[in-house]
Amino acid sequence: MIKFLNLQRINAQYSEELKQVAAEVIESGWYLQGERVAQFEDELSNYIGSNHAICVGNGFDALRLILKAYIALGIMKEGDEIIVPANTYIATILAITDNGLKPVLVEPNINTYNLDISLIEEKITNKTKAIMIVHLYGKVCWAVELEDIAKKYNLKLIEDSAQAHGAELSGIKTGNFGDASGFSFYPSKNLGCLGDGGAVTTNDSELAETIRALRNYGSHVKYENKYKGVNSRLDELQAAILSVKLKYLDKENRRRIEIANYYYDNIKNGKIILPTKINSDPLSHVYHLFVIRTINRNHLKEYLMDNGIGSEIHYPKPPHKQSAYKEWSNNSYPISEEIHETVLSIPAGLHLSDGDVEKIVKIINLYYR
Amino acid sequence: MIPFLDLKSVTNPFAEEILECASNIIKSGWYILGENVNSFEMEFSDYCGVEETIGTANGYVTKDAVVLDLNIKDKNGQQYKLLNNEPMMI
Repeated sequence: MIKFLNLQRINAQYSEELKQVAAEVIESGWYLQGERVAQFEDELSNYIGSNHAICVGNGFDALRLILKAYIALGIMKEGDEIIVPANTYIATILAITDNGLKPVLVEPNINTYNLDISLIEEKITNKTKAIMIVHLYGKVCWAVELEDIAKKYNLKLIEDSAQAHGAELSGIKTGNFGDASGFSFYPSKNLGCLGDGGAVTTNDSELAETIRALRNYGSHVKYENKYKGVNSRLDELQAAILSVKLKYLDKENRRRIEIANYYYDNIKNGKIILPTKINSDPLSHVYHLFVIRTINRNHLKEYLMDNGIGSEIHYPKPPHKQSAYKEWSNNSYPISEEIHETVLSIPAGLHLSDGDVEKIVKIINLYYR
Repeated sequence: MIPFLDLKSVTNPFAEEILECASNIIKSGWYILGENVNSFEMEFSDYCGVEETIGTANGYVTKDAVVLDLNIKDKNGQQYKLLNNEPMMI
């Protein structure tokens, strides 16, 4: 059986180093807001090229606190609108509504699965305050036009980089394109810890300081609370683990790209649509997920399972069809809906051997229904 | 100097046991909402003598979840949570 994901195998190669840092943290007597978080924040901001990195409890909180900080700074207020791709994972949208802001869903481009930049301008109103771009599945979502729109309408550009650690376009890394960016370190991510974790990266010092306070009950000085904050802090253990794993991120991303290129070169089946290949800037997709499309998706999933290959659907139901957002249930986003009906993620992670990858291609090429 | 708090000394007697648990978790490949959370929830329920325990990321979000779940408000919009099965103002 080739599993879709095997974190046991992926983390086994680092287990000695991980145990070593875990022992150090356990013995240190200091478990939150200490030197390991500070050190990882430095390492992450150096890696991204941003002036600041602020670690938080998870990726959802990273996005939620960026918006909360803009509200605290008077840049946004309740009821303001945020443009967001209709096919994102629901966490992006929950981060918006959690702040009393209004998500304005925009269709993706079916070839890139990312926000269709040409559709943004028609959705802008006098309440629009930001565009939330999502580097979905690991593919950079960025274009000069985005910057032009943001400038023209005075909008913030916020990146959801939860699936695209280490991706870059023209030498700029995800996390350093927009005004602020949210990362998730959920264990399955390209850079994952062994629990929940997240971070904000930004070049805006005022925003960074506000988020530092907001993650710690709105407190900027001990027992003084400037803002109505939350509790969302990365712990020392996870920070130490992330410092270990960050060292291997580029190497792991290269392997993901290698697997993806093998799929591009060798999957040949008229029933399968491969994701659009980027030839110009090879690091602009780090293949957190390798997402193919086919008309009878569920049948393909069963066929792969029958042949010993795990697969997953990212995602089976769009946010506007979820019970959580029943007020949108009559809205129609046909491209997003088509994506949700036809996508299937095939294994593309670090646990795969070359033999596994060859087997996956062979089985997919034999699929005929 | 007598420190106000010394978590290093407090943790020290259990350090080996904790590290063994940590090693097992690192090896397991499963890091969120798995067997360890389930067993701690049961252990904590038994210890507290309650029917249910729901592990959350920290004490602050627990309060958030309880309020969301109950959604109890009085006519002034004041929200309540359950404490010892009685609604209590927060």
